[in-house]
Amino acid sequence: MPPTERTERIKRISNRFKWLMIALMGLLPLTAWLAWAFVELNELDFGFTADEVGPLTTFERWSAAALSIFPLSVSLYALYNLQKLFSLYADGKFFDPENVRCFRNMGWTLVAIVPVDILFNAALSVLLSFDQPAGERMLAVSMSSDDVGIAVVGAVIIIVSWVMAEAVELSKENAQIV
Amino acid sequence: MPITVTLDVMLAKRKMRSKDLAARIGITEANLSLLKSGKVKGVRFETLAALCNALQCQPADLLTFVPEPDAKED
Repeated sequence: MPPTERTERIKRISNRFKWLMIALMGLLPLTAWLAWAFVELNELDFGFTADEVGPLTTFERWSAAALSIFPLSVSLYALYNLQKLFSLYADGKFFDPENVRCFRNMGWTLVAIVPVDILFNAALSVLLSFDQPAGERMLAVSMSSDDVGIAVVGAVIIIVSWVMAEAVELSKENAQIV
Repeated sequence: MPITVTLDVMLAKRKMRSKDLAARIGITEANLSLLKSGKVKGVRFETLAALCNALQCQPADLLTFVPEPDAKED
C-alpha cells in the first residue's frame, strides 16, 4: 500500500497507542495488587460489602491478590492483543491476517472476561467470608449491566474480525492487480 | 488464462529495458516483472495508459486473447 498522509497518521498514532497499551499492561496488575494491599473493601465494587464479609486480614488481602491473577490474565491478554494490533498498524500492516487474529482474539477475550469476572467475584465472596461464623459465610454471584456491555462489545469485535478477514482477502486480490 | 501479456515483445521492439519502463510509469520492477510473466490478476486502466504512453502503442499491442483448447464459444 503506497504511503499517504492518512496512512502515515495511522502509523504515528498507532505507535503511541502501542506504547500506551504496553504501559497499561504494566500498570494494570500493579494497581490491582496495590488496591488489594491498601484499599478497604467498601471502596471496591464486588457485589458485597465489608459489613457482610468482615474487615480484610493480611491473609485475605494476599489470597485475593493471588486470586485476581485470573481476571487480570484475561485483561492482560486483551491488552496484549491491542498492543500487537497497534504494533502492526505502526508497521504499516493494515490488512494482514495477523490483524484479523488480533481482532478475533480480543473479541473472544472480552466475551470471556464476563464469566471469568462472575466466577472471580463468587470465589472472592467465599474467600473473604470464610473466617465468618457459620451462617454468615456467603457465596455471592453478581452480574452487572457493565458485564453485558463488555460481552456485547466483544461480540461486535468478533463480527468486525470476520469483516476484516474479508478485507484481507480483498487486499490480497488488489495486490495482484498492477 | 486466455489473456497473454505481450509486453516483452513491445519492450524489444522499442529497445527499452524493463528497469527504464518501470521508472517511467512509476511502478516497481517487481510488479512489472509479474506483469510481463502474466502472474497478475488484472491491470489497472491507469497502468495500461501509462504503458501505452511510454511505449507509444495501443492496449492491443500489449494484450492478446488466446482461446484455450477446450473453451467453447457462446
